[in-house]
Amino acid sequence: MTLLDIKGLSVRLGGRTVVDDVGISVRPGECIGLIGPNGAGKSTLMRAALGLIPFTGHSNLTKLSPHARALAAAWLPQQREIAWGMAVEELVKLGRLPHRRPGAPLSDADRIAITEAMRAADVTVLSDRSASSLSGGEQARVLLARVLAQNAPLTLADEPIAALDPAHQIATMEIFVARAQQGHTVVTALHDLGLAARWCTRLILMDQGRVVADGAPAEVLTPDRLRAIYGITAHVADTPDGLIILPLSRCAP
Amino acid sequence: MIPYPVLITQLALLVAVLFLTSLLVGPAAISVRDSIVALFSGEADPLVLVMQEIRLPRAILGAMIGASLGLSGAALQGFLRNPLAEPGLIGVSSSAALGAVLAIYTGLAALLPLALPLAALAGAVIAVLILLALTGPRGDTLTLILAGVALSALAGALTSLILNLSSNPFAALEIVFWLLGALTDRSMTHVWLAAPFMLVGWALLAGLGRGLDALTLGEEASASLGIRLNRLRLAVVLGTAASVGAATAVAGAIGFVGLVVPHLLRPFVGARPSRLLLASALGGAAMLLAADVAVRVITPGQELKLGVLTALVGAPFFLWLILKRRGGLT
Repeated sequence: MTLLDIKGLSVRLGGRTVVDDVGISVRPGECIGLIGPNGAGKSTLMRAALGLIPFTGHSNLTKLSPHARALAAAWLPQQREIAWGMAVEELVKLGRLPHRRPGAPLSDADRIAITEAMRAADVTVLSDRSASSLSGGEQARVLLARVLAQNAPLTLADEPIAALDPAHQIATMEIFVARAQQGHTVVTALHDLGLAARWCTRLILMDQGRVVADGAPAEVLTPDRLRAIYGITAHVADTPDGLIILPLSRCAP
Repeated sequence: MIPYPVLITQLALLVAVLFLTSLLVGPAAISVRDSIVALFSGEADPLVLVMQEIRLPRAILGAMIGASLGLSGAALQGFLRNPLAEPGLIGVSSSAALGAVLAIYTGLAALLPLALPLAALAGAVIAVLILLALTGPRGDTLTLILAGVALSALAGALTSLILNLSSNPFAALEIVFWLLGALTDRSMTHVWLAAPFMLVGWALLAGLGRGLDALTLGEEASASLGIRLNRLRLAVVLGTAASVGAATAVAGAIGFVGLVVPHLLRPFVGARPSRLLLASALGGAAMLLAADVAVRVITPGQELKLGVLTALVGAPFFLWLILKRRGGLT
């Protein structure tokens, strides 16, 4: 079974090719890190795969109706937008919209998914708080809980850990890994190569709109690629705790 | 916080009380008992005429127009995720006003009493067609706002032009007075004219709760939750245009209700856009009925125009809300 199937996908924005002929196939049980320098096309690729922006090529998700797609794939955008000061629990509940008929009360499955998601994202204590009284990191966790409550087989997340403290960064990656072990798949754009290397089962490295490497972290994050794509040198060590990568310095172009 | 059903019940009761008050207040001093009897009487009596032909349509229109303004204000604020949005934003009210002004200027309104509201409705319909042509099927929200602002400006400029060209000072005065907005001397014909449009508009807007709730998370997140944004945008535009276009056609431009009421009630519904819809419709009806009672009580002889009063009370009230918000007391 393939959760995400992209072939020959290209996106042009403002006369520039931002994503260029990308093909990716994603199976259940993977925790995939989508990495690459700023402007590599990571966000654009995910938004196109979901059908949120126009593109050419093939993505299996855009063949679905909006409702079926919402059941198949959840999306956590980079822009953390919460327009109104709604209670945290109400925001998390929005993740259940695709599962509920209009006006229907919460089912037991809804309630369980909401409780689980709030616990996993560590926002249970914030339950009654107004979103406008939360810090940026807390808001990020609330929005993560919303995506988890949607409970879709495939989750696409755009830099979900950017605003979080180290403990919550690790917690978020642990949630994604746990989801993958339950047979779900998470594709997440990341900038922290250390976390990407340590937690992801597979890394997809993008540069200038193209996929330049796709495979296990140790295969993708070679010193040559780090130099060629990111222009950095890094300390790379294979330890019993997993692959450890620490960027050290910029190298001359 | 007040539970939602309790809040709705309280607002509905408030509307009912103000509706009755509106029926009982007027230049003709009629006792409460006589008023009620006359309202349901079939006799051809001056009292019956006052109640059934003057006060009843006025109260009904007050409630309907207030509900339209409150509902569309809440829907637009939710859709644009901006507490400063109001029904006039998409340019339909100013275009409807332009239609009405044309009817007065050309003398059509004097020949045929219904020419004025019909011309106003035509103005609203033309505005919607232009708006939809400009934004297109895939049009984004920003284009919609810009098109609305441009349309408002154009309709306003044309209205000024007509006033400028109007050689007859009485016609100019009539136009200015009409533009201020009022519910005086409206008949049941006005009610029947406006009601179908308003009902269609309400039906379109009332079904938007789910989509507006999802939009709290932004356009992309709501689209990924299965919300069809194009359909939602179309429903917001058509719903607002139908209800507010009809409201402007029968009562002129009445400002601030659609802006202040959603803002005022938002804290009471936990800021949920879906719950704000019904609450705002009731709140709008209550506010407009209260204002229309107030203009009759404050200045009995020469009535203050309703639109003047809502702006006069609404604007300082809005300033106070902003100050309160800045102080972090909300």
